[in-house]
Amino acid sequence: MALPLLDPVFHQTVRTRVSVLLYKGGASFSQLKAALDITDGNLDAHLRKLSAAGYLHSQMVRDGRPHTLYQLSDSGTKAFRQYRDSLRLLLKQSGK
Amino acid sequence: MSKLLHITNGDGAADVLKNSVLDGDTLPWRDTMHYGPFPEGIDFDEISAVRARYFAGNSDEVFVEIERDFQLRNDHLKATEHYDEVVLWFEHDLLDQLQITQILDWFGSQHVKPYSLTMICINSFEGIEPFRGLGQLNCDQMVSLFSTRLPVTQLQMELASEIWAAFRSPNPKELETCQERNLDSLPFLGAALFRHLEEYPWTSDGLTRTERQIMTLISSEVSRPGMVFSDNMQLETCLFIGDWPTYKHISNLCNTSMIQCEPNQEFQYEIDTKISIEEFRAQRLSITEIGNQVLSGAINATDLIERDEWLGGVHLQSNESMWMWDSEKRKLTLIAL
Repeated sequence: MALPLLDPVFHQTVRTRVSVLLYKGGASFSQLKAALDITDGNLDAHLRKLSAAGYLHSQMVRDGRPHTLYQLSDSGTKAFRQYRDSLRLLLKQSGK
Repeated sequence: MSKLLHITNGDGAADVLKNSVLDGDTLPWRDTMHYGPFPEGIDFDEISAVRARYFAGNSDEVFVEIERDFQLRNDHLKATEHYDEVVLWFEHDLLDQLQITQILDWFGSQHVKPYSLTMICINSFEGIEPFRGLGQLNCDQMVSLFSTRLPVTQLQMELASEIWAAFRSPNPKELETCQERNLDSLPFLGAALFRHLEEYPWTSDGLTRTERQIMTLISSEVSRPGMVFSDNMQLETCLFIGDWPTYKHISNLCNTSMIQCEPNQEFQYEIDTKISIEEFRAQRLSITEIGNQVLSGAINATDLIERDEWLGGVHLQSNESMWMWDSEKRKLTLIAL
């Protein structure tokens, strides 16, 4: 039986968690950092991986001081759903 | 279904596209290209670091944030191989025309182009008067433009690269000379570049066109910073200047003896970091007697303004010979100071 392939961009412990947060809605860098409890450099590196795959969308928000909100792009959202479905299918194949 | 990337001139157009029925990812090109350094001789990513430092001023914290946004933008641009088509959404003004030249120069330097590169670039839209930019359009109006996109031609790429190199040159005569060549393939470029040249200090009074417009408004008793910004928009045929650069100009003018600011002479505009929105709105601007004399032509402002600014690749500094705009001859001239 063929096992489903997992998108390597999402299939990394930090990026999976980042992607779950971004899939749920927009988050600022500081919000992501606080939720994940990782360093700036680490978060930067993982956001860059997502962006280099075209999976990251940023939006400048100007309520008071301008700041950036990140979320998954349209293609990132579709790819994440695919990743989630593949992961479910893969785990299902592990049986009881 | 083909996979699309929409590159827009800013967040306004990107937000409208994202809320429309059009598929695809969006990449807003956030950079006030017409101000600050674009020195030649450094690569695409290095330029972003220079830009971030310019925007952040002395704040290392802000520098890190801005540089991150630039880097993520660049990473996304380099990911165009993941797309079937890249659509550029721009308009006619100086800001957008410079963005187009930078982006097309980058695409022109890439050896592998598996995608289709198309562009929408307009200076009007039926029913929108005055047309200022794509950000004025609603979702349906933006969608209606999609079918009008045209493939970017080799001629456009080559012209953009030439202009981009001239814009980054420390010798602004190169850009001035470009105006004499055939610019038809990017039809809004000529007027935009002319407006850029008007942002050099003028030989006649030592002010840039924007500085003169701001001072003229303040002298006619437009005293609220927000009103100066909005009224200044009306003085532009092709609006390119946003609120942040306008306030930066006001701040610089308040550091001279030509403009007064109350309650504090130092004009503050970094809302939520240095000043509250209420304090920002409470500031009032007025012209001084010296300012009036400059506007009347009685004195030249060159000695009144301490300049340390960049226009593309040109560094304007008060203690050195400075490129200035001769509005009568419509040419730049190097003035020994």
